[in-house]
Amino acid sequence: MQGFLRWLDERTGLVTGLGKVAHYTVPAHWCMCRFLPVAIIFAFILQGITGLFLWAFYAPSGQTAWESVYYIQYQLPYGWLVRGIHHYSAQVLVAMLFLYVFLLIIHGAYRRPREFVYWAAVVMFLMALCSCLTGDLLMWSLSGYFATITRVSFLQLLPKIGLPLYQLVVGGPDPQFGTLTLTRFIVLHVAVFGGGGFVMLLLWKWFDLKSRPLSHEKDCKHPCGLACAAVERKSFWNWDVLWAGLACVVTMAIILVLVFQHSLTPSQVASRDATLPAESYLGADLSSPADPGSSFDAARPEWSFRALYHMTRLPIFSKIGMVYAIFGVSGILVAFFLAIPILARVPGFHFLIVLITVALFGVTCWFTYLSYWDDYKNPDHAPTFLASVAQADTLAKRSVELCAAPDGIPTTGALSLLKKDPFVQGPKLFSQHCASCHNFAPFGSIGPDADFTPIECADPSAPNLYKAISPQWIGGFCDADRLVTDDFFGKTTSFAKNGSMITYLKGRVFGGVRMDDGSLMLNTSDGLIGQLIAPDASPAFDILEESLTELVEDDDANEKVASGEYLDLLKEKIAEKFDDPAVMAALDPKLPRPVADALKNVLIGMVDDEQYAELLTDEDNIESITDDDIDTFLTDVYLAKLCGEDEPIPADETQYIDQLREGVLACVAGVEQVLYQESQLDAPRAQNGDKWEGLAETAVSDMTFLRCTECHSFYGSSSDHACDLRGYMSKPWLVGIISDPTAPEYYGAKNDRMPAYCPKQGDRLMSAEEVDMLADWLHGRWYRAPEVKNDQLFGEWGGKGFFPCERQEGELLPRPVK
Amino acid sequence: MSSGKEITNSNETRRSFCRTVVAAGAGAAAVALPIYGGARMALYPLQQEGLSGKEYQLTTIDNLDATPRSYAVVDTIHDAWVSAPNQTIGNVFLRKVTNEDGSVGVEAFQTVCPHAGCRVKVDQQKNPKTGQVETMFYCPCHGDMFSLSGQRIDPDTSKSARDLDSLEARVDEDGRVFVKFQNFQLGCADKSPV
Repeated sequence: MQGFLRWLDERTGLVTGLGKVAHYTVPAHWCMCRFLPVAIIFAFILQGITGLFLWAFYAPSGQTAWESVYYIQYQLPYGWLVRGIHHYSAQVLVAMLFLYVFLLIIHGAYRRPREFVYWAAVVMFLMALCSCLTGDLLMWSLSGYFATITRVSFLQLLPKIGLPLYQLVVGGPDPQFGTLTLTRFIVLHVAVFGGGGFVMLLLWKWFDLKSRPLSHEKDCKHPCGLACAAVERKSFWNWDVLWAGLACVVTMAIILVLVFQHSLTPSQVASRDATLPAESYLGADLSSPADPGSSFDAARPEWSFRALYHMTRLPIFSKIGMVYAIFGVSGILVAFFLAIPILARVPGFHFLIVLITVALFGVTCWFTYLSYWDDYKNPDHAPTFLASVAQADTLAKRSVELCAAPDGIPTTGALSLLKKDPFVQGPKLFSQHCASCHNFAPFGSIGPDADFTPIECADPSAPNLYKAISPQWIGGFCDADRLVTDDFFGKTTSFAKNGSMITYLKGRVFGGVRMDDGSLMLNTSDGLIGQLIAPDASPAFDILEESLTELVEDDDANEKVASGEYLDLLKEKIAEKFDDPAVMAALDPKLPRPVADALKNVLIGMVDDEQYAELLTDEDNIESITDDDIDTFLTDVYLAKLCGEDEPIPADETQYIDQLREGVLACVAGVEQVLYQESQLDAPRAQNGDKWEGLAETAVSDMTFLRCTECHSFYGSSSDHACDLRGYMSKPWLVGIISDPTAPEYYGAKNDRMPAYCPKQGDRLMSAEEVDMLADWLHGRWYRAPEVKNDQLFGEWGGKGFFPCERQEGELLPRPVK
Repeated sequence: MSSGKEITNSNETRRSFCRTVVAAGAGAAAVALPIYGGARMALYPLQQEGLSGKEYQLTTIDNLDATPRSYAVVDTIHDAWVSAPNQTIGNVFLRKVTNEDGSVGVEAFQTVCPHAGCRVKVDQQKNPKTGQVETMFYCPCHGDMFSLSGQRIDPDTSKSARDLDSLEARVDEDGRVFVKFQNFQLGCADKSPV
């Protein structure tokens, strides 16, 4: 055994080395600063371990970098933990190295013979910062991408060498980052700064050991072992080793608190978003995939660079040039700190150096504070910043939802999922193409909806499309007063306040003019109500005529004339006619049920009404009248009175007209319901013989009665005066009108100002895919992630990841509109 | 104690040793979490399940004859985070056979050589037993030979420890050919699915 150890030691020095380690001594007095290096080494080891595991799953390319980090975070068991420890131990390492260098300066521990210990520590600190800078990009996330592109772009400020240097770092002439940027950043991160940092760590420890025996300075008063080696020493392998172990445990505890910072309390766990897995709330954040085509207003450097970042925003540097802020100031700072051991040779300079360092530290803290204050508290900037952060959070959440969807991530990467998602693209497309005319905000009875963020239009001149497929939007579509408001067609020129639809709705549906004194001038020539009861040739005329004729021929009735009881028979006859489908079917136009009921009630009511009953009983004794008389009676007397005899109907006698109007309005409501059903169609209705699948039987006849079909095409009737109402506001309809509103089935030649965004011929402002997404978005049709089980701290502990677990298939359906 | 002085007190030595052990334990415990997490991450491939032996329709019986032909098995590949539809996940040799009762059946084989995983091809090779040139399954890597019904031509000299892996196949009433596709562990005499 002895022989083997000698053999080994002669060749490797291992035994002697171990012996030295076993006799490692430290200053006898206790000092907490002594354990800072231990914690630094520990954090460095953590970086190495976790970094190695992460590296085994990381794929540096534009289409795989974010995806592989997503895979690590959400699918690999404990991936979130390893990634979280890697991220936060890096932050802790930077903080501890900073503190260490700071203490070295304060204690004068940079002085001979420890200059190299100090230099190694400074370089290690710089390397740790560079690792953070390069590591940030590797996620290829929105925040990392835009934060890094700004930093790296500063290289271009350097005179002459700036641009070539930038291109070398980015990996191509393209100003955008790409796969080659990632391939070199992983090398920089892992080999150059990570590996370099490790080499510096070894050198640092080596210099530390080498310099120790020489540091018996008589005048060393500071109790800290960092500063000078005291005369009294003791073995490290006693209490100190225990404290060192504790230092590691405390460091790990701090890191774990940071890793679990979003899941520390039960209330934090309870308030998790129901569609996001537990992994979203554990470890380091992951924003949405980098999108070179977008922007991110809240891209900010890590906390350790906040002071520098704030400095670049100082007005003075925008005057004298950013290059001085970035490279000048940081260059001077680095040079100063590296030169400290040499400067301090001048007697009295140590005090000055400490003063400068403390002042710089103060400024750094102050700038860092100001930078955060500006983002979170400054009333001028904070709203923009916070809105941008909220937007990025929504996008990050959406990215996870889409990646976890049953279809998974395509080979083109996760970004392509976002690019095809109506929820993400809809608002953008609307802002770009529609929001200069259309408002998109709650109004009237249409309240705010969490799914649709309002997009305000400064000067709307077309309908407000907020929840345009809701019953509230389509309901009341035949309300002329509503239609002429600015939220609908009030500002469209072809529709306008006096457009044909408005004049039709106002004049013909109601069918009369209301006089100042409340009396009503009924329009019997083409008003809807007027035509129901027009003295000649109206459904009322037909039914009354038939009923009276039958009554005249009825002996039984004749007997009852004297007693006046025959009026009851007349009422029965009228009711019979309205309840007889054959009679109703023979009417032209066919009466919608609510209108028929209203007319029935009016006619029966009139028989009961004294002033009309008198007309029936007084002069025209039923026995004496003939068919001709009935016609004349109805035309000249009975219905003429109802219609006002070419004079306005007095305000207190319009009850029958009002009743009829109620019936017509009920019919209008029915048609609006039909229109709403049309808006919910996924595809054009299938035709089955002369029937249309799913279409209410009376839909077409009701529309015909209301004369919608005089201008609009509907099932079985076609007209090109106005847009086709088949599938009105449904997704295919929206796709069609956005593509080309000048097509004959839409507004044709009457199209106001709406551009054809994707016409069959000519310039396209949007691709067919974009039009499709926009229509889907207006409809609220996008993938909706099912709820996941995340009410436990770790979700599925042991993390198979939520993906292969219980997650059910999500729905791609139009949302039920409330 | 002072610097440079050996620790002679045995009690003190023992306490010092205990403290070192405790400290080492504390350090190890602190490092254990990332190592455990990392190991679970790295071992994830062992947790995942392979092909479950799903059945695929590959062709119709009319397209087959007695000479085996290779058909691609197409499915969605879940490669790490990527889901790629319509990818070839493997190949299958199919040939038409006439059963003893005269009915028409189909034989299906993996194209992967059970010896070392090379791709077997249908080739004209000299049968070492008969000395005749025959059509057979031939593995170009180590020269393994299998008859068209999948048996090793010379089990004594064959590198492969088992016959070519046959797959369950069936023909339905409409003549469509279905194969239950699986991969098998290589190199061993037993045919066990992976």
